[in-house]
Amino acid sequence: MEQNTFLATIRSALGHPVRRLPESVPGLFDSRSETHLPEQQALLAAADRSATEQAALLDVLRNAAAPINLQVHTASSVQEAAAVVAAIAVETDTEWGGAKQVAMHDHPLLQALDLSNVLAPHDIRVHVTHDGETPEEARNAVIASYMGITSAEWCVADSATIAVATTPQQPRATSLVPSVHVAVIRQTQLLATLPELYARIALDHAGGAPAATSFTFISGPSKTADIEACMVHGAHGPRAMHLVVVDA
Amino acid sequence: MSAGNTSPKGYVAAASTALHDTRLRSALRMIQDRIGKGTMATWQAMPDQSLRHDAKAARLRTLDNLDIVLERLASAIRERGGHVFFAADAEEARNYCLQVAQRNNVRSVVKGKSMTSSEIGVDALLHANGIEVTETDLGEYILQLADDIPSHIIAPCIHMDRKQIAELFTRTLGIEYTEDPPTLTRAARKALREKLLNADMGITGCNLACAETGHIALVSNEGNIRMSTTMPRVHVSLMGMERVTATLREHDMLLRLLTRGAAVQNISTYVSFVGGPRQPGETDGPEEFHLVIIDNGRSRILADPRYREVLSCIRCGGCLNICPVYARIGGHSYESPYPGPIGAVVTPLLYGVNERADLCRGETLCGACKDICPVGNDLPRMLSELRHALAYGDAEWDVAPVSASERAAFRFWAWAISRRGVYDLLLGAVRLAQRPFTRNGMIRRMPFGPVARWTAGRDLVPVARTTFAQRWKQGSVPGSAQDNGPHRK
Repeated sequence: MEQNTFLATIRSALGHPVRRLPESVPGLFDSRSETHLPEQQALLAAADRSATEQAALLDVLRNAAAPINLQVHTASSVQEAAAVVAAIAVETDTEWGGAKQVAMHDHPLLQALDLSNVLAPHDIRVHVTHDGETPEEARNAVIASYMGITSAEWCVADSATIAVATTPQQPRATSLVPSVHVAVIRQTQLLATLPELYARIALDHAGGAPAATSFTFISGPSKTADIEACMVHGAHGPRAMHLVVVDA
Repeated sequence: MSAGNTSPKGYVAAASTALHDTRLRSALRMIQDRIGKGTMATWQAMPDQSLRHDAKAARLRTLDNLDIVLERLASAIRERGGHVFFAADAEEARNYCLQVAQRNNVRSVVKGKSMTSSEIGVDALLHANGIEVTETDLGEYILQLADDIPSHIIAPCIHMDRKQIAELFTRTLGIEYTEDPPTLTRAARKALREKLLNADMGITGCNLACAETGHIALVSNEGNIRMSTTMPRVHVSLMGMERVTATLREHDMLLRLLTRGAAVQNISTYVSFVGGPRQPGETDGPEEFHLVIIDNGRSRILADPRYREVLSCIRCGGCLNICPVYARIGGHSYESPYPGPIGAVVTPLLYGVNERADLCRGETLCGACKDICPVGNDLPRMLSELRHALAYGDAEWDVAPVSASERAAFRFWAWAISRRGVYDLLLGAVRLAQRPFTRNGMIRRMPFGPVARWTAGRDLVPVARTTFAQRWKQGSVPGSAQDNGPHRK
């Protein structure tokens, strides 16, 4: 059906005889409209936390992570974070067989971990997303990997949620297709609540930064309770998820 | 499990069968105990007690401006290279899916759980055209293997137990017999991974789009929906036209309510925002993205102020987790993609009030569904409106009054009850007539006549030996003028 005909049907259902422009309803599409601006600003202000307050959020994060089987690790330096990731990589077995390979986003924090060198002695290969990679190469790499490593834009403490945007450097499948997902973030990326995260996204959007075409909130490993409501982890996504928080 | 489960036999017959299914009863009791009670406790403990009210207000505002909101959503998605198709009805929607599939030489489709897809009947059409369609939500996959249909909005195969699933998997997937849920899940994971990695097209629903940023959002715990929207070349999202928020703020409120109402979760494992196809430089995600916005009877609901609020529904399934009727008859009895209290309102409005009249009458109007609803939809009020339409007719909805004899009976009743002599005569006749059928103060079974249908399902209290008016006159009612009992001062 023609869009205009479809929308005309809706208009007539609503009792509007002619086409209305968005301007006819001020603030309709703006989370930061006059009505909601104070609330949004309060949410953003709340996110400016001191180091002590952020450390407190870490406890909130741990409490939220436990019931959803998300394993939280802390590290006081990038080197320590690399050691944590390496320990996970060594301990974890491959699910579908083959040599151990890790798929990793091209991200400054992740590059700083220097995982290619850290994991080389353990015979674990690291595939980092790079320019000029074809979709076919990226696909094969992620299917061949037993572990996917990403960072995140933000992490919400009270629901243990990371928000990851899709970019050429950060393909979608890295946090999805491998059997284990490891996310590495800095403690300064912690937010308290989901509304704070949404307020960040709304601010970026209002500032003209086009929201990423695709972004994902991830809270723990894949799970299902479809058989007699028994909780089982690893339905179609990762069976396990680790979050490494770097305080540096 | 046979295809017999999927052929409709009518609400009353299906419900009667389900009433004797003890396995179903205990499964539903378990889910109501865990999730229904958990959700109610969550609402009571929530620090922000105005959240549900604010969310409903935002929802109604968006519905009031749905024309502008959808136009904005469509243009944002087109700007990123996505396609948007507006479908007036189920046929247009499913034909569009087929065209997209054929244009892209699609041979296999993976599906994320979507009630809208079953509303428009897209699977059968694709299948008839030689395209393999695989459900990828574990519950939906089990049902597809069993040739069965869902019975709950978020726990589709709650009516099956692990024994049945074990037998099914042994037969269809060729695994060794086991009743262990983790082992069964792994078997499905392995079988579905092949499908998910190699399918040409993914079909999903849409939980809640957001017009402010121009995205659809999909909620899942399993990751099958992310797989279906990441690995295939083409992604088609089917969206009921009301499933959109104007702002991120509204989206935030509703997402928090959705996961709590559905499964007492702070948030589901995955929430994917999709605003178009793979962008330049990206190496994964679909090359083509299609959003199909579907009316199929919704604009008619929107136009009627009595029912408009039902479009605020976010399909969390909360009302199924508390309804005393659903707990006893299960989801199949509703014979609709939308079971439970929400289905009892939406199904007649979408498929015909007269055709689905039994659904409107099968509820108790106890109000539990309204109490648990994250957006406070007044389903009991809407059920009453539907019953009113069935009793008196409703030209707007092409509803014919259901029972001429019922109407005649009530007209006669109104006439008789306002005439004392006639009324007493009637009572006397009934007292005589009921005598042979009364046992221990109850009429348990009436073999014939208009009362037989009543006693088929429950006992009937017989007409009392004396009326209240007579007892009042005799002074045997406490408080009456002639009463000299000890309780009277």
